[in-house]
Amino acid sequence: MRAVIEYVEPGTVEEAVGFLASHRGAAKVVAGGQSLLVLLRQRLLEPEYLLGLDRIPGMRGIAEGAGGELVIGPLTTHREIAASPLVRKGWALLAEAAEQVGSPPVRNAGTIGGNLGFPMIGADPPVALVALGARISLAGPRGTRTVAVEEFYRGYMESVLEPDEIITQVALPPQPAGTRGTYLKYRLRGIDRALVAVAVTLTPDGRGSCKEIRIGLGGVRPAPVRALQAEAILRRARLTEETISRAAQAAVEEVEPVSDLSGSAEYRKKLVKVFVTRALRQLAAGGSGVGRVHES
Amino acid sequence: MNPEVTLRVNGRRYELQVRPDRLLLDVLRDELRLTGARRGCETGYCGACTVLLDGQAVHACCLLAVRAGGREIQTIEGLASNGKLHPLQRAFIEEGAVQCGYCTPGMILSAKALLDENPAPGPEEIRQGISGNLCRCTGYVKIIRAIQTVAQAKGGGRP
Amino acid sequence: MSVTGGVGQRIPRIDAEAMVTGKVCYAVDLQVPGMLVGKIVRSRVPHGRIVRVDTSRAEQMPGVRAVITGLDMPDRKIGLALRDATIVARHKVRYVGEPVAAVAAVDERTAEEAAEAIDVVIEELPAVFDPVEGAQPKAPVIHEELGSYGHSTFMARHYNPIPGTNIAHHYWYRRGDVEAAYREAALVHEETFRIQPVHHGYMEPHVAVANVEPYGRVYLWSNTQRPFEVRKLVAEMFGWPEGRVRLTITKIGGGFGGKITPWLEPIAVALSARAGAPVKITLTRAEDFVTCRRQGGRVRVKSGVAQDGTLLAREVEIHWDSGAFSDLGVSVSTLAAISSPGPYRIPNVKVNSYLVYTNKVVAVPYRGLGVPEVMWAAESHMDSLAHRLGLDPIDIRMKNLAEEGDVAPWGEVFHSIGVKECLRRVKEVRERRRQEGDGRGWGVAVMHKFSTPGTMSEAVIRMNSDGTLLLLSGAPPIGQGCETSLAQIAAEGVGVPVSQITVVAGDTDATPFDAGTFSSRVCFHSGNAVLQAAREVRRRALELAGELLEARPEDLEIANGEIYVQGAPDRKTTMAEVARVSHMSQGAPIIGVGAFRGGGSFKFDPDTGLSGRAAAHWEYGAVLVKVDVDRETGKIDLRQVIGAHDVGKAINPLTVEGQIEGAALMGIGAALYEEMVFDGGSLVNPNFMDYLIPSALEAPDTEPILVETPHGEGPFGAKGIGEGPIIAIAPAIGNAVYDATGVRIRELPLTPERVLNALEAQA
Repeated sequence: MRAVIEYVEPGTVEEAVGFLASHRGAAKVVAGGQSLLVLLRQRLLEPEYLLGLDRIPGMRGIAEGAGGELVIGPLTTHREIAASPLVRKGWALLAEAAEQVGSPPVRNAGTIGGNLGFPMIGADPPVALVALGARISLAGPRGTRTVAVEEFYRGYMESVLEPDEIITQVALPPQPAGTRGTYLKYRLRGIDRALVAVAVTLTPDGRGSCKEIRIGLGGVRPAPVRALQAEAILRRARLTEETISRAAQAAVEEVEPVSDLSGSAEYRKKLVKVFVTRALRQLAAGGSGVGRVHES
Repeated sequence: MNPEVTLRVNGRRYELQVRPDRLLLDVLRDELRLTGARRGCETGYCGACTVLLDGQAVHACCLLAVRAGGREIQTIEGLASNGKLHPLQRAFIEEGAVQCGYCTPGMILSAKALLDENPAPGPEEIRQGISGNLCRCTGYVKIIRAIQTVAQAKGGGRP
Repeated sequence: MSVTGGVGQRIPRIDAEAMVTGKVCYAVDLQVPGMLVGKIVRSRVPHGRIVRVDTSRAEQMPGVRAVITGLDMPDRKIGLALRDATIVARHKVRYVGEPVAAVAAVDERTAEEAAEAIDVVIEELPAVFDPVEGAQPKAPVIHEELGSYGHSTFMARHYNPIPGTNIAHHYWYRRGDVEAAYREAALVHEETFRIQPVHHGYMEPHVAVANVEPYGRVYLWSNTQRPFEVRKLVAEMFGWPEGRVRLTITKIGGGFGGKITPWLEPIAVALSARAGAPVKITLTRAEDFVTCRRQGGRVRVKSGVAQDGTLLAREVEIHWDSGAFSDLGVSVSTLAAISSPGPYRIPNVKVNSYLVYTNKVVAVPYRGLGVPEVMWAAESHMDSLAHRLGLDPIDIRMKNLAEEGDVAPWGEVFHSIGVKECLRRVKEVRERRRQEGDGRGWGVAVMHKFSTPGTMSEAVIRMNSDGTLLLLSGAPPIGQGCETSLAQIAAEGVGVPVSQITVVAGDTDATPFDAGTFSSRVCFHSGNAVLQAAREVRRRALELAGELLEARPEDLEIANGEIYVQGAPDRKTTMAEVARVSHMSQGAPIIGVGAFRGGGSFKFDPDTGLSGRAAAHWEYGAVLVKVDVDRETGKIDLRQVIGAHDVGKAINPLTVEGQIEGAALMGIGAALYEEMVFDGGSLVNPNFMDYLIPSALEAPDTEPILVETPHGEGPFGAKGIGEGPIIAIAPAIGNAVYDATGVRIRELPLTPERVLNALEAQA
């Protein structure tokens, strides 16, 4: 690989984005390094500078915000998220998605910020983040901005993150009382990314219908997506075989998967239907609190 | 000018100047001559390069050496103490869990990290615990058994 | 009289301690003072004429010590059977990934940059990627010189190319009259099966280190499975006497057949000669993926069967996807074709096997040597026949499986054939489990596997001056544990504990000749040679002890290092004393030499193609699997694998089990997950992210069952076990999927998508 000239560890967000802005495109942020270093090794990326964020306060860790929201620093590892009692308490869906990432060494080193920053088809955490209504904070030389996770992605390996921006936090709103969720992942090997992943959060209205529902789908490019039509069918409706079937069909029509080595677009569409159906049936059957995970 | 980094490996301190893009794996192998961690796939899948970083299994091929500074690194060379093999090393020998041996150091270190965290894993938890380490020779059968025997000897384990 | 660690004992590997502490030198770890780094420049075109390889920029780069192209290599083609391969392309490239130039530089980065600075211009030619298309008369011809190539002597009478086509070798045989048999059959059924290319996926990449001393020796270190073959081919290529070359193997991180052909050694030699320094080439994983693979291809099977399931006739037609060169394909395509009807009694047989060049990565030996491919077809087909006749798949096999003394479809007489016993053992498991309520999803398949005929092993056992023994064997341990089983055979043969034996393996200067580690041959061949050497050592030791004890050698016994007079155990001496006397007093150190040539040959009846004996020995086995199939996703959940294998005699049950368990998962990988996917000749998944080697999460509960039907020529009755257990896995799974769902899939791998499509087509 071509030589990286320097590894830089700024002490503040301002320093970091200042450095990125003054080395347009020549610098790359390294979070967990699980994707970046592979791309470097394969010469798919040849930055002159690597930027580490470890010295910037608040970049790693999980906390509850003043408004009851969950705030996660970008350098927080999948392992930390999966093991966090705070995450388990109110946003367990995310813990369960984090637990499905790759293998233990990948979860031990890989971070949520890195996972978002290197969008790969079939990544787990973003799908759960969609269902949980997460927002991502980005800082750049033009200031900070916050985007909903489903608006963060633009396409294959692409996001709205500018080369001179960094992810500073991921925030998840408090989930209304009684919200249940499920995360289903379908993959070839146990260590692979998802062919299709489905994350659903459902808030019942107390009278047997859905008050609110959010459905995130992964593995269906551009990834991940929120299945808005399917949600609309179910909102204020009861989960019956009939509504579940209509919602699953609607979800299929909302995705535009492509064919790749893991499976064809047609197959992925079939899987979307199967797993949206399974996820909703689980929730209709009561589920077991926020974020019961189920693998095919 | 290459940055200076202090690596603590198997309880020893090493002061090194390393290129900023050097991977921990390359520094361990080329600079420190600790060749128990091996390159297998370069993509974070095979786990032949597994080492323990502050007690957790990581792929040394996906870690910058400069970022490992100040953290506790353990490689297979540091597992036996005073010439006495670690129980996992003994179990791997006795249960026939070693064939070509290329994956073995990484596999043992992942198993150690697993047992340190969960002293009584069931077979599925063991499978999950070593899923970051590919072995092409054994079919994992005897590896899983070796880890189970150590877990059981510690008073746990659900065969 | 049993010795500690002798034959049949379940002892840990003698080299395991070094493995678990990481203190082992694999080829990747090898450092030679002054060593340069070699890098290979590879073709990006599947088929083309080389217009120009411009090395001038690379040659001027600081730190670059040698640059070579194909024209700098000796103009001699090499190959394990047919000499059709250029190691560095000269005028033509034939696959994406083929070496066209190489560099040696002071470090890896310089070497990489120099390799990138080499400008390669290739004029593209029409290419062919499918073996069936490639065999057509109008297909683009990949080897214009086919017909003029040299070849190894072992196949002299047998080699049958079709010049002007891509058919590197056509082997056929006929027995009886299949057409007449079809007319009498209650059922005639034909099916076509496809097998994808897969990679060996060993964990350690290919590595070679060469140090050419200008007026002296040529030193080579590599992780090859066949050091003597590599030495021979390198010497032949450069026109040197074999003895000039010394090849020493390192510890080898897996091979499975992929580390036989010297793809790197000649390049390292050429670079070292030019640079005047040692050169090491270590392949990246992506390079390794374009260096070898399994053949695969297409197999058509047609059978005529009586109403009661008796096989009357079988036809098999195979198109092997050989890739750009034939490597050992002439041998593989012949012996696998011989095996293709299965270990059955079939009076009428017709087999055609075509080894076809394609513009893809070169296919080489892969665990099972073509038999996994033909058994996928034959054993899936056997189930189809059973279902059409309303018979139990196990019963139809039992009815037709051969027994000791039966004549095989290809003409030889079956010996040491424990396949029925293997099948009985797995049937017991199935019946018990069915009674317990596990009704559907069971699949069974049987297998046989030849060990390549007419290969040679030698062994030497030297007594050290303290009475311990040095066992010298040319057969490389590649993880299967032959260092241990050979030491156990030596221990048993001499009568000393296994701890007294040090094994030296695979050094062409130090160890005697051995054909190498392939074709499940080491335990049988090298084992026999070791046993002979051990018996010679024992004879000499007893003779000398007889002199010391004033007793007749035949009255003496050796037990754990002591030699005593039977019935008078206090009249004794030690091996150490025997050694001291032999070395110091008599000047006649005790050295045992053994040699063994396996039976069988590549001689076939010119009229029928039938063989008197095609193999040194045959492995036999039966596999039972249990699956559940998710009908909505097509995903196969492989619950259990039971492999019953006839090993003749388990020299070490622990390592035998390891072979069965490991081969089973490798077979599962090729059956369910793995496929080398090519797009226009380019491999699109040359990494472990996209090429799906099974992890522990894919490893099912696996139960090995050892059956021992002694082989008359095997050491203590032992046969091989390295390859057999992979062979029946894929058809057993396919048959289980049929049992679970009623769909028959004839193409590997059995991906969920393929299964789902089949389920939907059925509905």
